[in-house]
Amino acid sequence: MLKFLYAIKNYNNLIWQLLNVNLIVQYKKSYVSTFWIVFNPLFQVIIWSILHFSGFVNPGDVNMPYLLYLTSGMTLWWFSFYLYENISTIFISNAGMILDNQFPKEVLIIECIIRQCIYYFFNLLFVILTMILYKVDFSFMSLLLPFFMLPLIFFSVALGMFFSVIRILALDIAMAFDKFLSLVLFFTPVLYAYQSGHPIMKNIIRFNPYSYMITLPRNILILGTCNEYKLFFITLVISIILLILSVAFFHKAENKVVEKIFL
Amino acid sequence: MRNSILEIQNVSKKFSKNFTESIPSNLKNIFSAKHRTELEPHEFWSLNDVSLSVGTGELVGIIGPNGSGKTTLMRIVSGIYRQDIGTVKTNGRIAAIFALKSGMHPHLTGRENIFVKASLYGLTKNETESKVESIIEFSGLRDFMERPFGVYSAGMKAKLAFAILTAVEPQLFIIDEGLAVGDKIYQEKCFQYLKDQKHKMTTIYITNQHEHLINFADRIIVMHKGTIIGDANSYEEAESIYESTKSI
Repeated sequence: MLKFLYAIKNYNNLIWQLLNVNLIVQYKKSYVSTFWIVFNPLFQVIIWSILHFSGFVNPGDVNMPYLLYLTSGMTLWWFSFYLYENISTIFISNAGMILDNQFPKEVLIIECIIRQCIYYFFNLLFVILTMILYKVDFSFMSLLLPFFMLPLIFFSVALGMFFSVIRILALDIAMAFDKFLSLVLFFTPVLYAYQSGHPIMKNIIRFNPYSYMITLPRNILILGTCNEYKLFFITLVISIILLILSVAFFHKAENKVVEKIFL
Repeated sequence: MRNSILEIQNVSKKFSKNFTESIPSNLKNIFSAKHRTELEPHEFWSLNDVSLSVGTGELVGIIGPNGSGKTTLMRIVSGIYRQDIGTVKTNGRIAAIFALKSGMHPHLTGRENIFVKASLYGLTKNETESKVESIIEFSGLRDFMERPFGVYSAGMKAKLAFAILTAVEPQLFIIDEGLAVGDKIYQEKCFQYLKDQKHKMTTIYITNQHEHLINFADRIIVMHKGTIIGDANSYEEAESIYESTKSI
């Protein structure tokens, strides 16, 4: 963890320069750059809304308007997925820079986290707009959303750091996990309530850590309540432990990985 | 006797011959607490028992056929790779050019790229701002500063990359073929700059264009098959050692 503090203290300029490159320059050839940032979650919301309102999908008792349930859950899910995906590919997407310059790799991870948080903020505006549309009463508890998102952030960063190393050493394992993670969406209460469906499905959803890491921040944001503080702290502690293990693994492995990037 | 800025002792580095074959052992090693130093069947020594000492202010040239381990050695010195065996001690800030475009973005202007590249060397925004003018001046590209880096010629990219490095003010400057693409006048300007900075900066210059080292290098190291086979004090001596590698 000290390496992260060292990177923030001594390479904060590099973090901001990379943010500038990745946020602005990447979309320099586009007129509607911000739209592309929010487009994917929005696109998914449109598809699932059509399926729902056409009667093809029965989400069960979601405890709030379905569109609100979908937008809030989908934006949290994609935030987590992109965080994992971006961090797990840092060695590949920054290969040239890593091989030709010595700088702390933590800079790239911090930049990814900040960038995805900025993207999420744009998505959150869309969720808030939907809340206004449904005349949801604002609760000051909703301001605790960043705190309730911590387990999701820590968990995604931990997975991303672990698989950034595995992706270089054994690509097949990392790609299999990517596919597995895209399947997890369907076993997480993002598209439908966990009470619905087959008992086996209910059990999978119950043991899926994403269920709690998405449901609890969603409830805080939309309903302004959290009835399961104990669960929240359990997920927080587990995600912190995973993050510490993943950081230790990353630091042990990073030098061995760099020389294998182009093999 | 000058103070040493770089001490390399018995450094060896191994690489995989075939990545697919090495996947099981790579995974095993990554989860193992023990650092394995022996060679496995799918590996080879890229560097084998290399020792080198470089004094402050020296201008050192490194030559050798392709694959002789020059760049690997300098990547280890820069901290990009870690050696499997041996020790590397450096004193002071190191700056290296391994690839001209590295860290530079084609859609950013030359001026914007100065800030990106300088941040890679650990310079703050204020430090960079205070040096932008001298960088532009040194590069001789003032009229091109607001154009995208992507439209620069290879020579112009080399000029800007080198000019940014002058602002870093390193104690040890490593150049891996960084000046090969620049025009002759600019190359001479760079070599003169390196000579002028001798009192406070050491330079290691890797090149396959040996003539660059005439009237420049104090010492020329000749590498072959991962080892140092010669440490010459003159260009002629280095050339004769290099020629001998053709018969090895």
